[in-house]
Amino acid sequence: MTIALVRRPGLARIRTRGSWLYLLCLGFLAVVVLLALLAPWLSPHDPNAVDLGNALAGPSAAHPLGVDGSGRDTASRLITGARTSLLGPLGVVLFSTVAGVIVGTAAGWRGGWLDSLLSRTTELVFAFPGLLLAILIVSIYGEGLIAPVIALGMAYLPYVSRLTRSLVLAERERPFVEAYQVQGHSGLQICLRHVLPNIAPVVLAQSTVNFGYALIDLAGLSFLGLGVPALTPDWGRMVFDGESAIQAGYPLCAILPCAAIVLTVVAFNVVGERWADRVARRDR
Amino acid sequence: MTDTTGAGPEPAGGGTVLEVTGLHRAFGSVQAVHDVSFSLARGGSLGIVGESGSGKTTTARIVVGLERADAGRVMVCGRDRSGQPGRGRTQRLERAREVQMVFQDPFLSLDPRVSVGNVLREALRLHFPETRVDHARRVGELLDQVGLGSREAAALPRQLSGGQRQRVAIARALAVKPAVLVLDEAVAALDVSVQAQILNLLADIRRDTGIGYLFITHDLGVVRCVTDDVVVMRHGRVVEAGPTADVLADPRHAYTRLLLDSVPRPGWNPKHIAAARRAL
Repeated sequence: MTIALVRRPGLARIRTRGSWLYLLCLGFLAVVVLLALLAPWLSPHDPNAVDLGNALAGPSAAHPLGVDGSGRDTASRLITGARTSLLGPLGVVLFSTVAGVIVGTAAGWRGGWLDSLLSRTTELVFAFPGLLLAILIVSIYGEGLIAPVIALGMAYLPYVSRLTRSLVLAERERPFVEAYQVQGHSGLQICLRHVLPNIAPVVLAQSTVNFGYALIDLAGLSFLGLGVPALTPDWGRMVFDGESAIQAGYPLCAILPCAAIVLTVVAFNVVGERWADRVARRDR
Repeated sequence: MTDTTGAGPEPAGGGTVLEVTGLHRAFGSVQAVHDVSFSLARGGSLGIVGESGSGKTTTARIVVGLERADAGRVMVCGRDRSGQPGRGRTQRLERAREVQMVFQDPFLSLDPRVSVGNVLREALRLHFPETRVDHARRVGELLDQVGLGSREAAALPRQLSGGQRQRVAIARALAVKPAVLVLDEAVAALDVSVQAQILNLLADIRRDTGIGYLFITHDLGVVRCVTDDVVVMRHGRVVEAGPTADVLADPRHAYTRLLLDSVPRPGWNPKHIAAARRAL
C-alpha cells in the first residue's frame, strides 16, 4: 500500500526503537486517562479553592506539587485539568473521524462529480490554518469548549477524508467488492460491512496521531485565553495562568502542565505511529 | 443432496437460459467486444476460449452486469438484463439470481475478514430473509455440496488453500440459486491436481442442479473437460463456434488450430507457433 498517514515532520522524527518506548507511552496514556476519569475522587483539594495567603508556596506535605499564583493546588488542577484537556481533543477526533470517513467514503466510492466536489471543498479547508479558523469561530461565538472543538474538527477533517478516500479507492478495486456486487448487495451495505472494517485500523491510527495534534492546538488556544472559560482547570490555561508565577521566579506551576501536554502528545504520537506501522505490516 | 433443484426462475420458453446477441463494447479506440452472439441451453455448459485480450473476460463481465455493453442484448430466462441496472432492491436481487460469477483469483475474491460460514450466511440473509431459521442447515448443505466440512465454516479465507477458497466462492455463488453461473478463469489460479478436483466438483454440481455454465478460459484442456459447446474469440470477435468435440477435433478456423497447436506437448516447437501467429 502506498498510502501514508499525515505526520508533521517535527514529531515524526521520534522513532520507536524497541517496544519499551511504546509500552511506556501506552502505560503513560492509561495513567492519564485513569486520572481524568477518576479526577473527582483522586484530586486532593478543590482545584478552584483560592488561598491567596499561601500563594506561590513551594511543594509541601499538603500540596505535593505546590500551589499557583492564586494559591490553588497544582496537583488537583493537573488531575482535574486532564479532563478538559483530553475531552476537547476527543471531541475533535470524533468529529473529524466520523465526518471525514463519511466524506472520504462517499468521494472514493462514488467518484465522478461528487468526488471532485468533496475533494475540492475539503482541500479548501487546508488553505486555512486550523488555529486561525478556531480563533475566528471563538471570536464569533465567544468562549467555551464547543466552538474551538468544532472549528478544529473541521480543520482536521481533510486529513481523515483524504486518507479515507485513497483507502476506499484502493479497496473498491479489490475483486471481493465486485463479488458482493454480483451477489446483489447494495453499495451502502458493501461499504458498511466490508470496506469500512477493512480500512478502519489505518483510519484509527491516523486519528490517534491527530489526537496529539488536537491536544496541542487546543492547549495553544487555551493559552491564548480563547478556549475554555477562565475558571475551568485546563493544562493550556494553567500555562497561561503560570506566566506571572514564572516572572516571580516560581516556575513549577507553569512547567508541570507544559510537561503534561508535551508528554501526552508524544505518547499519543508514539502509540499512533506504532499502530500505523503494525497495520502496514499486517498480512492481508 | 436435497433442495438443490429449482435453480432460478423458469425460462419463458424453450431450452435456452442465456442468449447473447450482437454484443459490442469499446474502450476508447479499442474494440474489446465486436458483434458477439451465443446462447446457452438450460443446464448446458458453454466455453469461451481465446488468448489474453481476446475480449472473453469483457464479454463475461457484460453478461454478469459488471460492465455495460455499447450495443447488443443479454437475455437470461427470457428477461433482458443488458439495460441500465435498476436501483431497487427487488430488481438487484432478481438480477443476482439470474447470473452468479466465480472469479479467477480465490485469494482476492473473498473478504479477508469474513469467515466462510459468514460469507454464505450473508448471501442467504440477503436472498432468503424469510427462511432465517433454516440458514444454519443450508450453510452446512452448501459446504457439503462443494466438499467442505464444518471445520472450514469457522475458518478465515487466509487459513484455507487456494482450492478450498475456490470451493467457498462456488458455494457462495450457489447460495443464491442462480440460473447461470459464469466462471471467469475459475481454475486458472490453481495447481493442476486441484484444477481437476474443482472441475469434477463443477461437473457434479451441474448434473445435480441444472445450472448453466458459462466457462471463460484460455485452457483448452478445461474446455474439453467441462463444456458441451465452445465459442472461440479473437480480437473481440467470434471466429468459430460449435459443439466442443467437433471444434477441438476438426478446427475450421486457422486461429483455433493455432490455439490447439500452442498447447505444449512432446515434439512441440514454439518457433513454428510464433511463425504461424505472425502469418495469421
